[in-house]
Amino acid sequence: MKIKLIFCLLSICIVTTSECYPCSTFSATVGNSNLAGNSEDWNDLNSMVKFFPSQSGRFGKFIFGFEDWGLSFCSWGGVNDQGLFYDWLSTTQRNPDFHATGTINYSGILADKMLDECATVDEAIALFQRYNCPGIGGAHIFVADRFGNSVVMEEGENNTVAVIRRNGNYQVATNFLNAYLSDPEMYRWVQCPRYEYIDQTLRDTDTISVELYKSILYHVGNNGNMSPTIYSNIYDFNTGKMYIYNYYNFEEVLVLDIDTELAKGFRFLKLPDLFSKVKAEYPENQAVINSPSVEFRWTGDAIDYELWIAEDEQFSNPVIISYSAPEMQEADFGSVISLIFVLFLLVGVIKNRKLQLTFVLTVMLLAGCEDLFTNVPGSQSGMVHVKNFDNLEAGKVYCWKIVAINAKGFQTETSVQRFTTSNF
Amino acid sequence: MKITLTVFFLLLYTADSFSQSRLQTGLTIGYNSSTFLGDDKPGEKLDPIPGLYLGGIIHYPLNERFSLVSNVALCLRGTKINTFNEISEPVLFVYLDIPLMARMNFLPGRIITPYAELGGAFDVNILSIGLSGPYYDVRKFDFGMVSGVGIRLGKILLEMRYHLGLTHFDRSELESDLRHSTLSFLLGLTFGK
Repeated sequence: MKIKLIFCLLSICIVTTSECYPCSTFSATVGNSNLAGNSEDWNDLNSMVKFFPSQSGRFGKFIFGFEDWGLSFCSWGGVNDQGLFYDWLSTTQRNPDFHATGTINYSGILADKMLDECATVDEAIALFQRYNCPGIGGAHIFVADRFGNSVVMEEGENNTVAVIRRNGNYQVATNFLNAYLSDPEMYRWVQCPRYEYIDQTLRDTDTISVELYKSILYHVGNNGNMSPTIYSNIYDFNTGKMYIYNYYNFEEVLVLDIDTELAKGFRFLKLPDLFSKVKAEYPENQAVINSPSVEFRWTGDAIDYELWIAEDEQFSNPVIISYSAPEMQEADFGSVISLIFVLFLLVGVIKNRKLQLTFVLTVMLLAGCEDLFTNVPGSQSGMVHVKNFDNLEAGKVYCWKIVAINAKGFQTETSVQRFTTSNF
Repeated sequence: MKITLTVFFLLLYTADSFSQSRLQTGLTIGYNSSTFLGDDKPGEKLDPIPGLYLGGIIHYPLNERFSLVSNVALCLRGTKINTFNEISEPVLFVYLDIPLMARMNFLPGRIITPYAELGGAFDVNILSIGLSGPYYDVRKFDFGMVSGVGIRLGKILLEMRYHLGLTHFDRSELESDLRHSTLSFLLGLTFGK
């Protein structure tokens, strides 16, 4: 326990002095499949998404970011309607005055301009070689396109932008400069377990799929309270679909068809609001049911649901049963506790009770220290829903999932569950 | 950690029981500045990294001029690897440092007693960590040579000590020729007479 504490304190020292937050981004092209994945670990829960339809010569774009950066919104990653994908990953160097030799200043956010104007990795490289991007002084950018190319651009020697292209059919970036990979003696001291895991997995695989990427993101994500995984996403360059997982919850996925979403016009939304905390509970995966009827059970905060049942995982011939959740009201316990706390403090001040004041101030100090950690909201909803189904056939394999439709009209799905029926 | 503390207090207790009259115990705290030495130094250059030295003192006088000195202390070592454009990558190690040194006192019997010491050190690696996480391929045990100079003012000790690692601590596939080099500035307080 104490070793863990020392480790934790050392980690805090290192992290607070270097402000390096763990993220992982990768893309691979195997056969006809071309996918990119990203795990965004950070201490800000206010993740946002922006939809910009194409207009006046600019490509449509979908951007992930955070709102509370003094800039109202800061782009961290995204994809455009041409299938150009990017993500920023923080690195250890802190050079806010970085200015790449031979580049000119650009007053806006260069990554946004890249999505506005570029369709390929080559065009993105040309843009970063023309304009200065100060962000390169503290992070590197991973860019991939629908043609199976990718590149990592980062601070290079003598204030240049180092362009490190994919070597093979995949590329990975985490939180060390990819230039170190060419120097084994240097890489030995920055080697990243997340990088090693992704590199090994993609090197050993003959096929890539959303499921494989989901498994990778599960392994490299962070379920703790220090820089937790705020969101994970997988982009399929062939279908134009983005699979998004919120707060390290891989039980629920939001699938966005980028073209369809961009066609709906400009929108600026909180990412967590697009999720319903839906989770399939019963029948559990691989369960055996000994009756023609079963009571499906799930949890979630959505308004409307669809129960999908089929005999294959693709749900090619599904039975879809609609369900609407009863309305619930939640009590605001947070405000009540805050009120009691303020009253307690006031009484302490008026009556000059040192013990009471010390207690209140200690709690306030501890609450302040809590900023070091991020209290990730639970991924489990308290709302339980059930629906009966009476037409199961004996000796069959069934797949089921729940599609949740939330108040903003976004649909999320549970992971697919399988169960078999006995011969009754 | 429990083992470390148990060993520390056991040593202090044993030492104290061993000779109530001659053996002295105490506490020491200090500042370390450490880096790597060796032929396989990573990056363009290495910069020292600051660290903490914290533990106990065991002092056994043999006569007025000579004594044996040991510590059981937690010691933070490491380095900052400079790659290019002054980019720095920190590497940190926590060791349980147990030096054993012969000390020669100059001007014995005076209020201010300068001294010099020389000996060896046995170190146990407790934790090795970089920005990407812990390293699991660092040698558990390290041996080194220690030398130092200091002054004694009654029960207070002020000392400058240099620790030269003799073990190649890298246990990765590269088996790099790397050793620790640590300069410490220590403040000690002895108990008893």
